[in-house]
Amino acid sequence: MQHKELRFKVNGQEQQVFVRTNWSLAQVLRDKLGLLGTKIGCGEGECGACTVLMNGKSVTSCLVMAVQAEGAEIVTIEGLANGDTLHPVQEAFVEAGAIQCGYCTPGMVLSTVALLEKHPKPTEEEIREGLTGNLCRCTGYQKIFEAVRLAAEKIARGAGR
Amino acid sequence: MNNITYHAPKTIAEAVSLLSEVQEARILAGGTDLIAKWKKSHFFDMNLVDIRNIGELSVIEEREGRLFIGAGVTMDRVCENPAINEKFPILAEAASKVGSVQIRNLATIGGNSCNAAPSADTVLPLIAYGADVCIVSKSGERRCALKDFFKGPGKTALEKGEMLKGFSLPYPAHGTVGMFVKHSRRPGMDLATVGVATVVRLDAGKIAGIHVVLGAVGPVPIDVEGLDVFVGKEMGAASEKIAGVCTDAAKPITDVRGSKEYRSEMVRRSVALCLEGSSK
Ligand SMILES: Cc1cc2nc3c(=O)[nH]c(=O)nc-3n(C[C@H](O)[C@H](O)[C@H](O)COP(=O)(O)OP(=O)(O)OC[C@H]3O[C@@H](n4cnc5c(N)ncnc54)[C@H](O)[C@@H]3O)c2cc1C
Ligand code: FES
Ligand code: FES
Repeated sequence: MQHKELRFKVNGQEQQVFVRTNWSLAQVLRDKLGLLGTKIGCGEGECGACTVLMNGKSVTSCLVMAVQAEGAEIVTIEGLANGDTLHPVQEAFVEAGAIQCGYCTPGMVLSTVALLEKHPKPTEEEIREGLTGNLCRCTGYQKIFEAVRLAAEKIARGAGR
Repeated sequence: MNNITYHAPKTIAEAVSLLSEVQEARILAGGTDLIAKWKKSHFFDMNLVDIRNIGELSVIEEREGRLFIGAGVTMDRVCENPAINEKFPILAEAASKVGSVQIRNLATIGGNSCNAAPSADTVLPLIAYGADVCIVSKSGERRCALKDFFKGPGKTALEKGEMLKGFSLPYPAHGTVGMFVKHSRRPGMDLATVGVATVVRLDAGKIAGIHVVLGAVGPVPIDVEGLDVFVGKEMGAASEKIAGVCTDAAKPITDVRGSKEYRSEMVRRSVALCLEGSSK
């Protein structure tokens, strides 16, 4: 079994961990760093539960080998809130009731953060397109789309942090 | 079992020397095909050569009067690149239909061709625009037309020790119109049931040049032959016949995405739709 030392930044903190070359980034975030907010659903890129931001772009961390994150900057759901103050996208999901079991939520929130960075005033089409890679099995997408619109308003007003 | 060796070269020269030295070396680009397949196939052993750190592979630039797109360019960049959007709009459109945002942020245009799935979206416009592939190995570089690159599902013309460096596209002549249709079961996150790319040049309503490429209706993408006979004809009168020639050229099979009869009919309609769209 091959190992490698991996140095990368997670939620602003330098990390140095010993990883197996056959581990996915999702596995390392969860099992080595204890960041259990990143979920593993399908493990094949279809559901988006494992979405994290890698160098500013959303990726499915189940399809990224951990060794490929060498030197990268990763943001997980744990990295969004500022102390006890939620990120406006997190706030919006709570307020819009866009969460039921919560399994898809970290991925949905991170995809929304990425979407709003690119389209601060997203159209309906852009919202749907931006969340194509995130499946939710219980809330129903309408509340989630509502949360995205609300988050866009909050960010535009400079609310939150 | 379950063993992976990993190399991350920084230059093409390093990469091709690894490819010639490492036994059964496998290139890892975005990993969206390879890692998904590895997970579905009991985590076979792999000797990975990760090409994501190779800057030379991620350029989009003009070379020798053509547009060069590096094999390592990710789909999100293909979608957003101004030169591609201006000169090769249906390539940007096809890239925007690959998977989801997260997949497009990882998936490379080179991986889409090298994986050689009959349904690969970006392959159709690339062939329709007449792209060549630049292939590199320790012993140098060679080029071939992308349409001759595919040898079967999952099989390409790449020999041991070779890798894809990128695509070289001739700029389309003035008045060229491209159209792309991805027919899938749902609008997002699905592979094509039928894919069609057409690149047509009209001169006063008459066909001056025509190229039709079909995806997901044969073991490899189909570059429809025998369309030159329509050059000089009025598009309005010829389009139905052209759609017929394309339908005959398709070799669809029945699978979970659709029956062969359905696919056949969708080829006819999609081609007709594209041709109608090109003359507007
Ligand atoms: C959820 C999901 C949805 C998808 N949806 C679509 C879709 O809608 N349309 C579509 O066309 N595809 C789709 N795909 C497939 C995949 O994303 C694309 O084919 C992608 O372009 C592959 O690129 P990659 O960089 O990820 O390739 P990788 O997985 O890294 O590599 C694929 C293969 O090509 C080889 N390879 C890669 N680069 C080179 C090179 N430069 N030289 C030689 N060999 C090379 C690798 O060794 C491997 O065998 C989807 C995949 C997933 C997981
Ligand atoms: S677990 Fe990664 S996309 Fe489903
Ligand atoms: S809230 Fe349960 S999967 Fe979305």
